[in-house]
Amino acid sequence: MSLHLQRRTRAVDALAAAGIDILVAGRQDHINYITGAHQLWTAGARPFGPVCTLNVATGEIFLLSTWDEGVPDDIDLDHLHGITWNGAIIYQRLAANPGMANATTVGVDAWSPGMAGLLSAVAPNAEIVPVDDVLLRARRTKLPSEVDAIRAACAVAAEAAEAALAHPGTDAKRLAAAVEAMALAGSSTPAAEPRVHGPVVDFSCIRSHYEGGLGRTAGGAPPEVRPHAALIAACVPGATGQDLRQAAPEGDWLIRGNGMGFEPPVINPHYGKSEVLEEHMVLSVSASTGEEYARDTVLVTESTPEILSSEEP
Amino acid sequence: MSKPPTGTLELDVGRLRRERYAKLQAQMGADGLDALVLLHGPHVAYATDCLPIAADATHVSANRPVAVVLADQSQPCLLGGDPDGLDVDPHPTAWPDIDEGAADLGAQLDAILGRIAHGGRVGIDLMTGAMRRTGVLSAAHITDAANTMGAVKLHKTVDELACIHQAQARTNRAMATVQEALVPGVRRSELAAVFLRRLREEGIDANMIDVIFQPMARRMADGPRTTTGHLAFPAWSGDPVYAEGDLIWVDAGSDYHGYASDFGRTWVAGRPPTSGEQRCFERWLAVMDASYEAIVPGATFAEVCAAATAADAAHQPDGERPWMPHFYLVHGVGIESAEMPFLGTDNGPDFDAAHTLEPGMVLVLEPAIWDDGTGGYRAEEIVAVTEDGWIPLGGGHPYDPFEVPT
Repeated sequence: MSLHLQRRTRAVDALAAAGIDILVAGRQDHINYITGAHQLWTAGARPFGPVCTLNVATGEIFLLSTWDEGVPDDIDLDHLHGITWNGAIIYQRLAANPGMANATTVGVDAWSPGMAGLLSAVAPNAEIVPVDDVLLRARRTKLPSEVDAIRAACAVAAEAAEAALAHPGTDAKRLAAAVEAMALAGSSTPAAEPRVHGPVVDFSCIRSHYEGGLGRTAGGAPPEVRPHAALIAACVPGATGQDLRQAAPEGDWLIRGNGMGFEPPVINPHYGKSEVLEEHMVLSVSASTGEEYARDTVLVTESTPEILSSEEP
Repeated sequence: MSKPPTGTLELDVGRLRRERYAKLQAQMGADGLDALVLLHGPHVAYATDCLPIAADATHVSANRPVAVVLADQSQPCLLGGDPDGLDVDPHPTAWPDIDEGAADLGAQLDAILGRIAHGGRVGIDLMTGAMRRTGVLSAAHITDAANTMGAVKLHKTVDELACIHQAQARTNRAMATVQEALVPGVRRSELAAVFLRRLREEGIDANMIDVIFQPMARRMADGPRTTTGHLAFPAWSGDPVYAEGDLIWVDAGSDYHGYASDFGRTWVAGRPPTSGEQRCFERWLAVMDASYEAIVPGATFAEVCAAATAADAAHQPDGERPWMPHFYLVHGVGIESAEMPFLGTDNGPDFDAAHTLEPGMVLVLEPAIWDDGTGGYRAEEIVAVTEDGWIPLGGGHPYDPFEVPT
């Protein structure tokens, strides 16, 4: 089964278990997870709108896309909705969505007063409930092909980091060289804001829907004694947020999920104390001590964590 | 408000902030709002000048800055973000996408809003699932902030025009280098690499869309299938290698001080345009000339669309309009890459007849000419509506390799 269909199965199962009849998704990461479609990347979060609907019982999907380029074959042209600027057309489409009128629970991945009003009108019997947490829970552990995709994205980000570390000149010039190197290596879409600040560099990219990234300090310590080394070692199945706090160095640190972007769990000095790590999670682990900063993308395995971002640079 | 100038556009950051904040508070008064709570990045930037980060949506939203505007306060509150150098009342960072963070955000909002949190009228643009689960602002009278933000964005101040002008001029300069790199055998990723480097060199940190260099099939039937039966653009095209004679539609948008540029051109790889391709360009120029002529304050959107349509009518036996049916003849640009005004959309003729151009509106004209079998021409130009007509923004950019007839 293709990767996006494996993912969709996970999402559908999770939504069904949560009692959701219809999902109305507006977040591109959720839409990519479920559909596998390649849609235009734009920077930043968009306002909430109904880009994709999924009928949980039947699996029927409608996707906002004027063309089928980049859309997997399992979503046919008659299930694509062309882009529209007209609120009445959005209303008609949602109202005509099979199952909407009789839905008792409509799941949304974000919320605005305007969209809530619209959904209440097209699904008058339904409770509108947030399901971003349901979808993100389904996404927490990664399938083997997802891990491969993340590893490939890490390699692209490493090219950028290497260019920034090797390039002479001002931070701005090194940053320009790094984003050029990243695009040549396969990604013109940054995940987080690229960072070049003196000896400290941090790069991440989205490549084929998945994020990979790493951070380094020029002239820093060897891998086994980098600031985040003890945190990485503590990323084992069953480790709690509290365990990770105890393993963390003095100073700034963050562990968060890494998949189609920034994901739960989020564990830092303030949040995530009761989170529990599981095998097959992929995590971004970063820490700073003094002048040194390091970050890696790490797979939680049954034994020692595997670093998916290259050891060098 | 200061008037749009006819001379040089110079950004005065202090004036930009003051004028926007005054407009926002006046609009809140008109809309009967006690407070605005803003999470959408461009809205936060409008209220506080804390600029959005041009990165993946999940990263930008994880610990995003939140703006709170109170009707009776002289400066906005900024939760998180970098308040250094801004005229804001700073508050700690919120993590509105996770439940623990949303609960903290709710407590902060209750403290900032005071009595307004209990029955006051609060406009909000977005809530995360975590905010809904943790009951953020559940005792306030919540309305959508979209109308308030839409109203203040519609007419640009002189400094907003300066930002758009700068964004466009810098994008143009970056694209001039990219076009030199377009030779047969080059890949899309190589052109993207040059563009992203050159934007940085132009002092632009924020590339807002994954830059589009789409090779166009000469016949629509050979391109992707569409819901309109018309062209697919801008579509995902992977990492194609361009061959001599490829017709490439280019689209890019970057950001200067929170304001978007919109670059559109048609390029041909490795050779001059054929006479058929050149004819498409000349039809496009005629549509642009007629549109420019029709742009005056008080003109209805319908009048501009009619002028553009008439200019190409001789080539349109089926009465088609010279722009892509899923888009428009004109869209606005500002803190969003496409915002009101929209002319010639599927909102239909009644909408276009009911709306008029007004000074301070910014228009991106993007007609597209298509001659099936030959190909087509599409480009974009930005103008600002003034008291007596319009001024161009961005300083212009050549149409190479097409020739403008003398």
